[in-house]
Amino acid sequence: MKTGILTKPEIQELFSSMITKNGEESRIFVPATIEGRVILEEFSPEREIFYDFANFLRPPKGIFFPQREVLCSFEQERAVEVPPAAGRIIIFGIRPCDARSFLFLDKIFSAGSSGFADPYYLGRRENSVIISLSCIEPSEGCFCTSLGGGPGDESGSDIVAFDLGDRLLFEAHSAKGENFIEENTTEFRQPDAADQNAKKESLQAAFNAISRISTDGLVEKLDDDFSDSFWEEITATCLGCGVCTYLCPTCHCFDITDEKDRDGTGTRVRTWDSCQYPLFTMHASGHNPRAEKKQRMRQRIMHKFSYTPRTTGDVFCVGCGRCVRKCPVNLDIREVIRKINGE
Amino acid sequence: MQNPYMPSPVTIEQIDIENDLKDIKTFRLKFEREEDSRRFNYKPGQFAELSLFGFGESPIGIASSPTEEGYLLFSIKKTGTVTSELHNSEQGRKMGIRGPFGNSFPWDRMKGKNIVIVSGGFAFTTLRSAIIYMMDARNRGDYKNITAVYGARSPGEFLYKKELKKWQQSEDIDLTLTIDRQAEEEWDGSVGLVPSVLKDVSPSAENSIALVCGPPVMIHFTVPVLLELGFRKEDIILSLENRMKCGIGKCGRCNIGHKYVCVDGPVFTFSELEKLQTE
Amino acid sequence: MIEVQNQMRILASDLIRQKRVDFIIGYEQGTLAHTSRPCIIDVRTSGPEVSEKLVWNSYCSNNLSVYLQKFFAPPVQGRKKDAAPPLRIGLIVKGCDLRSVLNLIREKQVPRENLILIGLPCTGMLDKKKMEINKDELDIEKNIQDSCLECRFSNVKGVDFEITGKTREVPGDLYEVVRLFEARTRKDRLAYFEKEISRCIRCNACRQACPSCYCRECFADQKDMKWLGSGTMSDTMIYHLIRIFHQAGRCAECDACFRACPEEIDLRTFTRKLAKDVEELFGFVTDFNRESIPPLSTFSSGDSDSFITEPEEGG
Repeated sequence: MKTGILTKPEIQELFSSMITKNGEESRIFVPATIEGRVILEEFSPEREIFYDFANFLRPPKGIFFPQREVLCSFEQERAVEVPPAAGRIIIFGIRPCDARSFLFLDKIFSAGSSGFADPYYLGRRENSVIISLSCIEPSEGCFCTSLGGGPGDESGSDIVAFDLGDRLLFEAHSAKGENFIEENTTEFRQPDAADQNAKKESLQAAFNAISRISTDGLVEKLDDDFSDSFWEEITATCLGCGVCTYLCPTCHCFDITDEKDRDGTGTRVRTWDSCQYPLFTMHASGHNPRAEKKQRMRQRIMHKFSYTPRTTGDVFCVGCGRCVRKCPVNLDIREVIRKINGE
Repeated sequence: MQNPYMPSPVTIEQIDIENDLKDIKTFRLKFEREEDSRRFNYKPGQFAELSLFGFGESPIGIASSPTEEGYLLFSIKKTGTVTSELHNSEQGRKMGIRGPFGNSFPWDRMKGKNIVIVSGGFAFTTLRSAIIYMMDARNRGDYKNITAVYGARSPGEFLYKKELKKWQQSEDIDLTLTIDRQAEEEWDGSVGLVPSVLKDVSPSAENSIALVCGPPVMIHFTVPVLLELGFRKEDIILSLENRMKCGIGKCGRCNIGHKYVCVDGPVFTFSELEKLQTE
Repeated sequence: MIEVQNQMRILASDLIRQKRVDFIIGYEQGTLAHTSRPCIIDVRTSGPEVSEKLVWNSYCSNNLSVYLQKFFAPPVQGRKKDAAPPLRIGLIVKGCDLRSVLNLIREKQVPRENLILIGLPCTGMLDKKKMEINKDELDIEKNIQDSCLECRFSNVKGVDFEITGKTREVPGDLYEVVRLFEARTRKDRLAYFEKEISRCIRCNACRQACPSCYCRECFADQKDMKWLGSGTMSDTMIYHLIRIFHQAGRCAECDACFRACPEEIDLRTFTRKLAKDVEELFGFVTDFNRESIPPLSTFSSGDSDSFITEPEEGG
């Protein structure tokens, strides 16, 4: 495994030099604060990378799967392909839970699941480098360790970086990651025993702070058709908004709509959509197979914990806790799972 | 990488009004580019996403058969934004098509079998495709007896009246048409709902496969009749509809349990559906 | 507060014992720190001891009236009318919740006779975000929600049961935030609106959390007549403008929209501005008066029309 140490100012310099390098343009996304909100923002040399945060409010899926994107334009009743933006994408500073979500999204948008590859998502994704930043202070509501992740988990990351205070320890976990360290080898210093110790300590502290749920045998448990009243009880206070799905790093449902200008030209756009909205499944005839809130919440839980484990082999939840923290009525998915477990 | 979201250009060559209510029209589409036509290899039972730019897309079952070369047929009921606009369209209008999508009727399994077709109302479209395909001289030998029961509210609501007339006179298919209740118009077919007429026709389940397309209530009452006739659950073939957008198993809305209607269906056996948790 | 909570529990268990309600809507302990959350208790299937679940503290900010309308909504087309007698709901209300309830009654969404309103004294709810920022700050006033700071209705009136206790004093300046906003140039105000709205991800949380947003089909969801596109900046601005304007003279300033917004968009400045305009132009406040007619539901020849005759000069 290739490793290296950089101080925080050195990282700032490294990224500044990478925006344009050897004739190749890179879009680099880094943690930044704007008016007290921590967001993943496109890097420029003036933009100071921010390290003191738990996680971003929004999941990073939007970089590869934007909330709104044009699929094609049309003029004179003819469609014109709009290719996704080209160029390398470097994402630095997302947490390991979010990096892990990319592995799941990859399965949906690649040809594997249905025989059709999604050129918009893959066009960006395939030319990307993911450098995640290990968790130091997990938030309330985090439960990644129950789902195969962890504060220093490498799945989905090309490189995992560990914040050791004034410096970062980088560990490559893929060929892309190795290349990245190789290409910039003059910048990196080799880590010593003190660095490794500091890493271990920070991980342990984070690990201990993460809440846990049991997902053992959950797929089978969900096979027992829970009664309507179970789902009704779970969703009694649900407001029916899309917060849990829009902020979920693995939720990937979308809508496709046309927008037309007066002159007949226009665009076909893809936007995030949510299984929590009644319109999501409503037929043109007015019939709706998931007309009720309890059916829609059941779909959300089943999709993540039963359907995707069957179709892709993965539970589509990374335990980032965004839905837990941001639900306006504190409808806590951990609690739902515990109830399904019979706890 | 082939972009599965990009529609191929087609032109509306012909529009036929199918029924007295005039809310179902059949559109004959022709590809503008020869290569698109060649690439569009389909089997009866599949569907396509039809595009009217500025209005959107709509998933529609293919009503033509691959044996009918050079064009595609779609019979479309006026329901939503796209289908209403299609109904406002005139011959010559340019539009887009993506597909073919979904599985098809189980053609491999159907070879050498008696085929029983049960349909009601507007859902007959992909069964037209299936019948035309099987009746084609090149394919007819692959299937044994073809029995069809097709019901509509009234005589004027049957689709493909010309073809129905031809099939009624054909030795190659045993077609029973039925209307829900006695009509004022002249009618020499059966009267009664599809499930009960099917019971009367009583096709043998021996070495048979049944294709069933119709409104949910018809399916609900037809399946027990077939089971009673001795059809095995895996030999009862149903075609489903759900709201769809992408057609390629990504957008997440057309699922029934862990199956997507757009890629794992729209054709399912009754035994498959029984296992899926229905919503 | 603990005393209020005790009284509330006793009252709730009495109501259950006397079979005076079918449901009680109140607050329970949440799963996160500093969090209480709504709970809807079907008391037909539970004993009076279930009232022990109810809590009352400084985190009970959800506006519970948002759940009322669905109990009384006419059945969805095509379904048989429920023959069962209409349900009786016991609802815990603060001043803001109560004003939302009265609004629903005025707008004939909820029958007063089916409600048993339990009014609690409110000293203002705490803002979790502020508490995170002012980590070591013990001064409660610094962590009170903005909406509570400008509240003049913490003392409920016209409820069926009132538990009395300490309430908030009416502040001197009711519209400080709006006044600051109004003092800015028109260009600045638009820029601020755009900046805030640009973060919107169209999750509909603001709409869903709002007790006044009960339209069976929201204009934003209409498909046959499509008013809104998929989410360009102008679509999103229209979404919010219409949502906000629909609140004129109806908003109870409970800030449910603002709290629900995952992007922390400052929705309250805009709804507050509307409240101030309605108060100044039409003399109407969404107060505890059940009989008053909101300006959007009525017309008088003396109504202000200066927004037509004397539109504000560009600033």
